[in-house]
Amino acid sequence: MMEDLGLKDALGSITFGALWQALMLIVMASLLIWALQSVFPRIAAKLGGKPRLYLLASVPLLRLVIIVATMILVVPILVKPSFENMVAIFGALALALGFAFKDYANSLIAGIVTLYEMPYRPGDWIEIDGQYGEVRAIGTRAAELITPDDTVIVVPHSKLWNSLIANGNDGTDHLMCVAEFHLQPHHNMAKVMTLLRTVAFTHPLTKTWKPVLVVVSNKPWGMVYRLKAYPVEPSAQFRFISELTATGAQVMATEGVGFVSAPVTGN
Amino acid sequence: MGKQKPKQGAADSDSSSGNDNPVLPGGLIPIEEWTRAETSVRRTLMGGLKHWVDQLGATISRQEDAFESIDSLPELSNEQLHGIAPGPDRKEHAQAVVDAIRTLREQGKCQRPVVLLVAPPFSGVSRALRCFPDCPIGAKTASVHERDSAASAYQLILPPDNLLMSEDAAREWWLQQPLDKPWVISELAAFWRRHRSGLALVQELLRRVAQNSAGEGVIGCSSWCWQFWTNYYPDAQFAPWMPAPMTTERLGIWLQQLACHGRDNVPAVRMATDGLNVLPLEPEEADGKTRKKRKHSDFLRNLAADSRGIPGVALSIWRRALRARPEADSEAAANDSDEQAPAKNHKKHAYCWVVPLDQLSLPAMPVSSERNLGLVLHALLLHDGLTIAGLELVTDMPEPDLSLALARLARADIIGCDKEGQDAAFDLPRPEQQSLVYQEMSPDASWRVTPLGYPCVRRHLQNRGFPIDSF
Repeated sequence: MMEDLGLKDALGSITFGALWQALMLIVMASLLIWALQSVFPRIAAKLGGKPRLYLLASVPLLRLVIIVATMILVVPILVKPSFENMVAIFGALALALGFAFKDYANSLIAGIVTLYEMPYRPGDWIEIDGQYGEVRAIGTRAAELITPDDTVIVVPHSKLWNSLIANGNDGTDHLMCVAEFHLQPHHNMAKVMTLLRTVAFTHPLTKTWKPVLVVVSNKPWGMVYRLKAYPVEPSAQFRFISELTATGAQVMATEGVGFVSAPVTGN
Repeated sequence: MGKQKPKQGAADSDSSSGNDNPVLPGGLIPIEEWTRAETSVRRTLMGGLKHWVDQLGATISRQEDAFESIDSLPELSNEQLHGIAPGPDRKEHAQAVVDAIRTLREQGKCQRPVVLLVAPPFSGVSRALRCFPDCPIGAKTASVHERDSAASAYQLILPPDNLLMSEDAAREWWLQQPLDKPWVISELAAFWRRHRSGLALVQELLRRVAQNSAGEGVIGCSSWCWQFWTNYYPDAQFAPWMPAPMTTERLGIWLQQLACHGRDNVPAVRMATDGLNVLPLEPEEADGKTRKKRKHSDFLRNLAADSRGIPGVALSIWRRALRARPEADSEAAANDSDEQAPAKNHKKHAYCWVVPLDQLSLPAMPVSSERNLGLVLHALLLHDGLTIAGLELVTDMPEPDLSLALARLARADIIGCDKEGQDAAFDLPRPEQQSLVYQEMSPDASWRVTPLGYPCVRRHLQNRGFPIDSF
């Protein structure tokens, strides 16, 4: 088999010195990637805001650059970079990956596509298959999500092919939050809308230059108000929604508008 | 990078009002015409890099936070600062604003009965507007003395003690104000609180202004406060005006006229490093040509950029950069020609030195991953200063957290206590206050961002996603 592929010839010229050199390069690259993955997130945590997102997003891209650069350096050390040798090596690699590590290769390729299409980046708040959280890291095969309950979820990149991915902030620090109010009907809707808008505008964490919206819909059990606003940082979203809800409820109580105690499914 | 030579009388030639008045160089301009003072790309990049390095490496201790001179030249005493970099005369400033508004009205550029003056913090506008009752709307030709003796024209409207009120109460409050005579509000930020019950007064006022039912008046408004209200009322058109930003030329003229105050000659100010001239500006003759060719430093250009064209910030940095005459003059000064060496005729002309802005140690934001510091700073800028009770109300932070944040910011010279209405941007602290300023935490004291801390505070808030002003 190896002879058919010409691998024997291609690998025949590998010397101990070349192997040692290649090994050193790989070790150096691994150390560099490790340093990158540990230092950058720490620096990002100190910065906050947009620079944090940019720095986090640069980690997978830099890692890819290091991997590609290492491959470019290592391959010519081990084998003579002729056309036949390259075909032999990559052919054998493709065969091995195709049979033995099909799913792994699938995730690897999806990982590269992820870096190009960027459906999610570190620092993004995404939802995949019902799991919501912040992308903590993007590995070669999978992304790590950290949920609001501090649980780490490993999401293989292959999910990219057949899952719906909802990205809340899409590489920016603008993440819209929604606070819902299920209110009893028969009240002054215009006034309630104005009051809820004021609640959002006067919250200290609101980005006032981004839209603050109040959307109302009629449901069988009453009126549903959705107060939409952007917090200063995506990580503030849970505190922001909680406080908007609490303050909104307080204002509604003052206005004498009651909440629906239990939503009833309509026909 | 070419050295700029700021020239006297070259402030600008735009359509604004009062642009020939050195007290208000550039006059008043429509808010859309504001442009940021330019600086070199190298300086912008270096500034950004320094900011991030500061953020990553800063550790907070009183010794490190406080300003330390890193050159060997002695700093100016308070008395010397009073002589060479005094605060502007608030009455003259107020009269310049009154004249500028009148000119705008006469030229038909401003036909609304209520003029809205938006200005970044430390522009001195609210300080000037507080003196409006002493500045009659008289003829422009009248002397200052005649104006002083004339009857007051504007009535200063002060905010009520309790700003949390209903719409009806706010309507009632405005009905009791003397809106039938010319009135002035020195700072709109003092008339509201970022609280669901704290907007009514300004809502009612802006409603009246929009309907032209508020009489004739002038409203001063901090740019941070204005940013909030323009977002709250996105469709409202109030056509605000603002003081022209301090460009290199305007800043030179302004600092020169401050230094000249009560003197016959302009004090000479030169760079401590290379001896290049900063002041006096290049005198311009009637034919527009300059008389002498002196080498001028780009200090004023950098100062205008670093201070974002805000006079109070520029003046504070200017005061920090000034240095007294060294024991032995630098070699550069000694080797200069006669006309460039103020050392030789220093008995005739007062002179001093300035250190380059790169060598100045200005306040830096304490490193923190918490957003409490940002919340406090944003609230202070939004309301142009707040007491601890006011901060508790608008930030929703409990008092212990608030005190910790305030203490940390005060230690870094980012914020300070406003004592007896002192304006930190313009008034020099009195000797007995030197050791007290920014250290006491009285519950009644009003906390404000310091003019020296403002540029880094603004940058911090911008990076943290807080709503910031446009200037």
